[in-house]
Amino acid sequence: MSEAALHFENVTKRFGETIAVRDLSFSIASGSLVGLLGRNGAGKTTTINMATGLLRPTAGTIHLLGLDVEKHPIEIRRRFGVMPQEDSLLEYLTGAQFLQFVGRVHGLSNEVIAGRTREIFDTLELAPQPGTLVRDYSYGMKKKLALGAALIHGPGLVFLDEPFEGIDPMTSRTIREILSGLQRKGVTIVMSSHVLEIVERLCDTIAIIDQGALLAFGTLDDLRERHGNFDRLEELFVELMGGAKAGELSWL
Amino acid sequence: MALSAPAALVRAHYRSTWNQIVRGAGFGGKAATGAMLVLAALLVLLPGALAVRLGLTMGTELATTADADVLQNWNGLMATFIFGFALLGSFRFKPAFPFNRFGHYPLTPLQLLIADLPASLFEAFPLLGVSATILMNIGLAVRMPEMTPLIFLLVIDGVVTLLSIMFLGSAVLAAISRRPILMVVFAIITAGACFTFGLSGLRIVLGHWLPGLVRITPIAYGYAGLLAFRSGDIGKGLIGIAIATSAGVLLFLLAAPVHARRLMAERNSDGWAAGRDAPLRLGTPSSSIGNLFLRQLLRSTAVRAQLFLPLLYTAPLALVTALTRRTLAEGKPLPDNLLGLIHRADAAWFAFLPILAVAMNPQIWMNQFGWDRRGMRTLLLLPIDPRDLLAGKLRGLLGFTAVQTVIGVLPLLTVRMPSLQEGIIALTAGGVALIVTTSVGHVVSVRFPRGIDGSAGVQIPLYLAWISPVMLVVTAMGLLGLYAIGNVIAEGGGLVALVVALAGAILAYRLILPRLAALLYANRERLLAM
Repeated sequence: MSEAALHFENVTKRFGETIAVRDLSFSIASGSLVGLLGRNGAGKTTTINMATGLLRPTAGTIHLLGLDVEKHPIEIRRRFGVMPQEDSLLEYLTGAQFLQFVGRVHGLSNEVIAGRTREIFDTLELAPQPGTLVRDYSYGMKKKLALGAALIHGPGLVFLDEPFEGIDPMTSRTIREILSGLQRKGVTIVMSSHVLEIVERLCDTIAIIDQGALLAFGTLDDLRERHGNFDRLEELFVELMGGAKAGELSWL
Repeated sequence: MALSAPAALVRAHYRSTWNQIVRGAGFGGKAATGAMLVLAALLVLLPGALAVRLGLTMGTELATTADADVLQNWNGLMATFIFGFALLGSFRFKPAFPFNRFGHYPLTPLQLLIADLPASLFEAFPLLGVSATILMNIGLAVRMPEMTPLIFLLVIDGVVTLLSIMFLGSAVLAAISRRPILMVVFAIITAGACFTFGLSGLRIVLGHWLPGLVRITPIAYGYAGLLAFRSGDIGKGLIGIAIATSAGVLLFLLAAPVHARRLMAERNSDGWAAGRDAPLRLGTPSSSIGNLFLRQLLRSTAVRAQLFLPLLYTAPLALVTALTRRTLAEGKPLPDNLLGLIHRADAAWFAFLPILAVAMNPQIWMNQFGWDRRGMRTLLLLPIDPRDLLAGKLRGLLGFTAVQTVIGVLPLLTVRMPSLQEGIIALTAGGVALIVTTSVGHVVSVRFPRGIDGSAGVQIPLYLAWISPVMLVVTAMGLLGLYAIGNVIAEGGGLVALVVALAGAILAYRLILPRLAALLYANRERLLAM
């Protein structure tokens, strides 16, 4: 098996007649910060869900940190952290209780969890009223809490699905700094996002998916070499997507 | 063709319900839903025919003699159907739509309310009350065809009254269920009054108060007005009909804003109790999941009210026994068959109570992940063995049923203490019932998961409704059979058989747990789609 942190080999995912991901093959080296780009419904979240074992590939194999995702579902979950795109928290707990539960499942002591919880709350400026259930958090607060839960156990691989969506500019900056810090420590990060400026500034590897197929993969320099020179990532993205459509509605 | 806003809402509601059935259970779900609807129609058919027949009989007497006693009986029946079923419906009623989600559309509260009315009627109790009212009045209209428009008006008035009472009753109960202490206080006051006033008090209530109350209901004035109209007394007739309809309208005007406020209530915090930041007590993975499950059940006000459901059975049982004893102590005789029935109930109630508690929770054990909803993604992303997830649900259900049983047993303890043998039977039989239903519930929960919003109802879809009664009848019959066979083999053998049955159930659960866990993992995509 390769030394890759994440390795997809001919992975396809069908939902009935719909092919969400088709014949996807790539490897992500340890310590990379990968930006996963694509239109809505392109297959980014499906790719992340398969990588984390939430969805079973219709064909192909996925290895994560050297382990087959389907054969070692529990073992791989100890090693990664995930910030899902959708609201997926245990809404009947308070934020601190949620982090305590996640930390305990990962085998952390209550003292360690309490310390890290305080740090997460301070750093991400997460200050709910005491006793507020996660259910009553705002969208942005839920995203911050999900990020905290993804990182509380110090994973070697982190998946972030749209981490900057619904986040205020100050927290966005903090998250960018956290991600840069993680990368410096050798943590592999796979992040999907529609904010191309951030991806361009932060990621060392770019993957562009459309209709479930991988259109481009590599460093920015690799992409310039293969797809011609471009000033901004957005130019390449729009070109690979076949150009932008005129934004007009007939009745307006 | 353009639809009115309420019609479009109702159509969208039933369309999405149907789509959920198809998505959740495919063709099998459609077939099972159809079969259950046919069965329900058949079950309604016989009482329905009786209601029409009753309406015809009483209608004949009212049409020919306008007898006061017959009118009083008629009004009593109408009051039972309208008020009785409305109050029963209050216990289960929930607004059909989460209307607050439509807040950004140009819909008025009145339009939302009108849209909710037909959906509100599709609950068992209001449907029974309304259908009985309509069918009896059809019988009456056949005997008084010239009065059909007025009868129709009184039926509409009755339906509006039923809905209004149900709206008000369910709002009051929802408020009480947020404060369980109020329920306990209410139960204690009721029990205290019953024990203080005894059988004579009950006789007064049933023999004088209720008939008196029936006489002064607006419905009674309405039917008296109907008969007055028929006999040519237009003035008296008009007054009676006016009292009935204006009371119905007033009641609706009172209930509608209360109901509309519930419909438009903010989603946040509605249906969920406030939290505390106290650290969780987390041990092994399965006990942690069990604690979380119990916590989420107890934080849902819809489920919390369910803790007190056994009281609906045990409090009357205790009351009847206490009244019987008092009557016998006063030297008054009671029929032998009634005494025999009471003795048998007295002998069985402690043993039966845990099974009764299990029987009351099908919407929980058949949808064990429903309250996790989108949180299921977190549970599946964490390094939790699916076996622990399932065993945790069993632990949570055990905790919930235990609390329910303890609450339910309180009235029975005021009558007598259980023997050791009764205690063992209760624990073993209840344990077996819990393990069997939870195991079946694991399968149903992973195959047909349905996300539950804290503020929404927790009803079982029609296509799964048959599972719970079948499971409970089979389990109860099996336990009864084992107990009987054990007692035939040797004295006290029944007790041993139940202990062995519990040990066997625990062992069987441990043996099948890996297969159930594999089923959960294989169905994880369904659970994610909740």
